[in-house]
Amino acid sequence: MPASSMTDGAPRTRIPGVPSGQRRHVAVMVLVIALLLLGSQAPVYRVSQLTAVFIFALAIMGLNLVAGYGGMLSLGHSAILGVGGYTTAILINDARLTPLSTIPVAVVLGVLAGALIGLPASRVKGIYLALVTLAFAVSFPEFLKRFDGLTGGAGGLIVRSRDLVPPPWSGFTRAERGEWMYWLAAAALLLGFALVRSLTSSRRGLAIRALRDHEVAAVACGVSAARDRVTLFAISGGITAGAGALYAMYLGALSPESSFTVFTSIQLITGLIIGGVATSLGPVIGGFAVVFIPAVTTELTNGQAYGLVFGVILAAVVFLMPSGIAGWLNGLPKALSVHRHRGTKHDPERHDGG
Amino acid sequence: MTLLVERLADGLTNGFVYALMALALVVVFRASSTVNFAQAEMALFTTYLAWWMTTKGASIWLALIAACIVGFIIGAVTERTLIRPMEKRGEMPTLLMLVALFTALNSIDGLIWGLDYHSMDGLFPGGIDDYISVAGARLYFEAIGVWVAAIVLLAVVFAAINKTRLGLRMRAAADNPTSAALSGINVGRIYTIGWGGAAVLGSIAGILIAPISAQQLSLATMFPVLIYGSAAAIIGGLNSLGGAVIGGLSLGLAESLLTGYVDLIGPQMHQTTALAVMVIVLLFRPTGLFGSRLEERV
Amino acid sequence: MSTLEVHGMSAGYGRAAVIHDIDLRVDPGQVVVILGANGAGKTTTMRALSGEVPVSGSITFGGRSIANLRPDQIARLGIRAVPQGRGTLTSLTVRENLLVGASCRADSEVEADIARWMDAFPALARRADQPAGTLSGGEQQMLALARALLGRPQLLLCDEPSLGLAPVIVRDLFSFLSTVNAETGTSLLLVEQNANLALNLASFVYLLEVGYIVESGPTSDFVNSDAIRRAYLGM
Repeated sequence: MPASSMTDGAPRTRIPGVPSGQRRHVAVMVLVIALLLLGSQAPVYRVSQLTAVFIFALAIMGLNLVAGYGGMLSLGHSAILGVGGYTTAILINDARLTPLSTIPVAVVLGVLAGALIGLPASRVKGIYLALVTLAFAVSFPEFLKRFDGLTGGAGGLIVRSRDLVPPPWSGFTRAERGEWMYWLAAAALLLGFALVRSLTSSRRGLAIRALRDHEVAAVACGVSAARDRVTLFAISGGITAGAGALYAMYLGALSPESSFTVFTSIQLITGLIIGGVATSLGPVIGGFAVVFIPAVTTELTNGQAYGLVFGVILAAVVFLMPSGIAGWLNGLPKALSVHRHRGTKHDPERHDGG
Repeated sequence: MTLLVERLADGLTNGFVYALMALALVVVFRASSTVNFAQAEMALFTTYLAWWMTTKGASIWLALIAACIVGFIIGAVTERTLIRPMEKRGEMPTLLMLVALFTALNSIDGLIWGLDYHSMDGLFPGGIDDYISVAGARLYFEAIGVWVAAIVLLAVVFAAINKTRLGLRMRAAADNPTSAALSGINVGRIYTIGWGGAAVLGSIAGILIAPISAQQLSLATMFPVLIYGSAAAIIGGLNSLGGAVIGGLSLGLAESLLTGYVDLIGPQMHQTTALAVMVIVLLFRPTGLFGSRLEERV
Repeated sequence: MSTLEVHGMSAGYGRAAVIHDIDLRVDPGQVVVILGANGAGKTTTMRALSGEVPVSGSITFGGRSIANLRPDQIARLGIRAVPQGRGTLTSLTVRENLLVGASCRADSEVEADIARWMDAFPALARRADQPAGTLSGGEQQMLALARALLGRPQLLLCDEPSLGLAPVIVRDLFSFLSTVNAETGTSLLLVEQNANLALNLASFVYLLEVGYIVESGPTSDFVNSDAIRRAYLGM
């Protein structure tokens, strides 16, 4: 199913030509570019960390489509990330393609992988779907080891750094690969952001949210549950696989056990929950969380602690801040200005009507 | 023939362990309508605890009892503090809590006991000569011990659920919580006991499998058992106790025979095979082979 | 035996109260009926009393406050509810359903009680070892009643026991309730739309209208009051 079917002819909710809105758009863009320029001036290792943030944010953005807007918990996104990463690495190494040209292929395969994982979503929901997606996450490393001729098996793949140099037209030199990756990841993240924004504000996006919140009613109104769920998984797969492609280019080395196990899925989920499910900024905040929580905890302890820290933070956020940081920020202006209505705001994160 | 018997025996040994894990998952599902992703990690923690006690000179049987008690407490406390508050908020927050517990427990094990593989003494004699020969195949006492232990345990569990007052209350609370409560049953306490009991089952499964596992005792020992256990539970029907046992045993046997005899699958694709069967069952018979229709709890 | 006393009880779902400021009283051995049209709040009243809905106001039973206790705590204090929809434990056998009703009792007379109610409902005795889900609607209503009675309640709450049953079965059911009341001294609080039958059984009546008690009094006042019969009972 083509990804475009979700956007076809769907009117944007934002009405063009409203000056205040446009001015805000421009202001936000200027701010974003300023922040990115600021970030690019940071020390080399910080730039590299920020690049990782952007890549994980993009991966979480894909997950957010399914888990946030679609209300379907996927534990399988580590496999999709892996599909993107391995596609890029294999194409660079074996087909001698340039890194950039592998991205569309990775995205297309990601769409297919997403649709495959999402296919069961047309039949099962909730914990059953979580188990099915878990199956994909667990199987992916086994597949990598089984087909080790292609994937390097348990040892993984290495992409030589001379195959990862920035393209000449970019103006970046070979030594500036770090900055090149920074800007590439930032551009991909902005692209993903715009795509998700336009999807979720489209009529189809509303239908999908209706499906999450009130399935019976939504289906009665002509929303096709099965088709929309698979489509959502497919688009989500494309985005996350794109992140995987960038990840391969960023790291230059892939191995099944280090990057593409269930724990990666759990990291992505934790990032999403911390950032805020079904919010557009949530994945970006989540990207920061995923990169900086391990970095900070490794400095503090021997490195084993970060699973514990992830677990504790995940549980705490689900308990105390169910709409995540972005959701909390969104609610802040209201909470500050409308004191009278305190307590009337009810839990925005509801599932299945309980 | 010899190879066949050995493969069958292997399959049976694993199958019994999967059956115990599947049974634990079903007990939890019947209480809280969720799959306890952390079930195996709870078991791993108590198995480490038992191993640690044996290194301090305690007998393995004493360690087993301690592991069961600690397991019960972990399960009960989890239900009471993490799961019940999520009851009204639906399945997703509950699952997230369990995912959080999963990663936290595994990490705690690593922090306390490190990343090394430990060889653990079993409950049964595990010497190189401790076997009987059947059709030329060697059936080790370790394996036979696992079968016997699992059969006894399963018999106890089924008797407890079907013949005791507590079992009746558990079945009532699983069948119709409102009605059970109106009959004076403290449904919440029953769920807490169910989670505790499930963790005891898991602990025993852990102590049975760790001495004979290829992973020995390590951070990766129990995760595959969760995968097989949940596949077995789904195949049997998530709310069917009997189905869990049949699912576990058939999965153990199928794993051993398929990966032994079918080349394409080979030694790397064990879990994928089990999961593929699970996905197929879910897609074509979502209630499993023995489960009853699952009503969404309101 | 204990008296149920309710003062100023309000209850509902979420924010909106469905019943407001209800006062009612059931004395030991008494049969009381709450009459009202659909949506008057009868079921909410029952669920509030059995602990299934949070309430405000005061509810005492035998002098002890039971407002906002859990359903199982209220049940153990001697109030048993026969819920609308019967609450059958479908995967358990008929006999096990009855045992669930007695699951809080420690005395040795459970078997005797089971035999007694099975005598009263031969249909249950015939199918004692079959899954309760296979019973007919009427049989499930009998089972729900027998399950509640196995708790040896002092007060039985029955929410529309006649709902969905054939008239002949409803007559049996009400005569059974009358026998139970006479033989065991169990007080009954009934909610009914079928006013005729209920008025024959009850000695005191409350009329519930859109969440408020609008009228109450001994049954004789109502039987003789054509105006009220017409206005509230549609007869």
